[in-house]
Amino acid sequence: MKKKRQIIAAAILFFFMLLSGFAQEPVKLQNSSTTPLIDLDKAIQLAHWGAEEDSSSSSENSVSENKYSPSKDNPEDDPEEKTFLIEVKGKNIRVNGIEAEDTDALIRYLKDNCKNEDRLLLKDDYADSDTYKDMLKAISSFAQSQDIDYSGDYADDRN
Amino acid sequence: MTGIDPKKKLRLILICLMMSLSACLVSGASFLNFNSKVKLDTSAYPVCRHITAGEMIRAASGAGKSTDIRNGSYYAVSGIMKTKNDSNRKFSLISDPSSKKAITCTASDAEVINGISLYGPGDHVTVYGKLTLDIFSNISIKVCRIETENSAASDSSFYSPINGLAVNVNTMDTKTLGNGKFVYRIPQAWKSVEHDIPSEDLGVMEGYQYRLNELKKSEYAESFFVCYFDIDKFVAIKDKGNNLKLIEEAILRDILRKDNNDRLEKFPSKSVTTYYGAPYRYYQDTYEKMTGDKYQAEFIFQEAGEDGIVVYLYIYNTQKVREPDENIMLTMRLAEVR
Repeated sequence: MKKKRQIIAAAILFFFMLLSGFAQEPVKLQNSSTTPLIDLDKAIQLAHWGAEEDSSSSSENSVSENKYSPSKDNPEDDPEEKTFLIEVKGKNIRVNGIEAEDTDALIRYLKDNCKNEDRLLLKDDYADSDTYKDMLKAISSFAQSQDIDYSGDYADDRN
Repeated sequence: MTGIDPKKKLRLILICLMMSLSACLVSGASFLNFNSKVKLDTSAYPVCRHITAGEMIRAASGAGKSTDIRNGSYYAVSGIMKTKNDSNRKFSLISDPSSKKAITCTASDAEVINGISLYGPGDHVTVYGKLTLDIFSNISIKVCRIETENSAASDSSFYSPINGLAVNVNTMDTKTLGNGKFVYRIPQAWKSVEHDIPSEDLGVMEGYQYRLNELKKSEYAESFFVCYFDIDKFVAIKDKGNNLKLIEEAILRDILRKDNNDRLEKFPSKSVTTYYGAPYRYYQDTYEKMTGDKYQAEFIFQEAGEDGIVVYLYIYNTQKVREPDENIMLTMRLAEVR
């Protein structure tokens, strides 16, 4: 009787384990073992800011006129005065609609894209006060060093 | 029970424990992963659909054309503040001064209450929050944010991340995968950082990589992948009837370069049904490049009929990414399996 109960208990346990996938063969995918579904090494390597020298295998699609490149080899193809609208909403900073990771990234972008005749306009859209103060300090310093016009507390006259 | 031999009692308890553990494995054991925190948490970063108070009231009563509304989902409701209590924790929202029905709005967060205090009866406001419908079709919103009504963005073409700007879905680019079985939208800005995975030799699965760090001018990798796994193409006939979890495991091992001897630490995946009704299965792991650099990898699987699985993958540097890009949550919110 005791042995019978043990056998039943073991059988129930084995049944549950089978249901859970125990002893099931793993599924083998039919793509080649040398070509993964996503080659993450390559995808991450190519997703490097300004890594245009790696773009040989992803040439046309990865370079667009709107894509930012830190290279100083770019010719001055836009001689007209430009306005850079810098918006701070909460802790998010955007320049002309493009999100900057932090104040340093914003300043790097401006250093590479701003010329003396350009203008900076600052917009406080319910900005986090610390973020806005840091940004304002960095912008003031940058604008002074580059002799660029900027105005703070920009009022959006489209509202 | 007093007559049972203690050894037998211990054996019985052990057997029950092992059966419970097996039952957990059968069920997907999502609660075993309860300590996993993911960035792509749809409940932490909800996206609100814009709607007017009038449309919401009509939808709740089942009248008029509509705009369906979903209990537990998030909305940005535009209307007129009718009454407000002194503590600024509760107010009512109506569609026009002659309305008899109102939406009850409540708040408990101090910052939100502070925001509510800036408005009074008669003000036109937009309220962002989570909808609750009771059995009598009474509507309440748990408010996360309040602002002056933006009349240009009050119809249901607009969606807003809970703390973000309104986006008109008609300005977004529509993409399809799986011969139209899966449709999703991306913001225009993503087009410049979009890469077709098979065409650009980034893999063999149908889909796209979006290199978000390039938009943010960051040197720290952050990519979002949207893919469609064709079961007919990649899974042998003999395996097609298998548990979907085995197929997902195979996908993970393939992408993360882990063979069958490596453990997938947080597998099986965690099942979640989002506030917008999408059934997701989450998996999180660390991806290590050949160079030794490590990244967080968050996968979300969603069944797309019998023959396909939608695969979202978010790769990022843990030290540098505080919050997911709000456009990722918007893209997922608007995606549709047909």
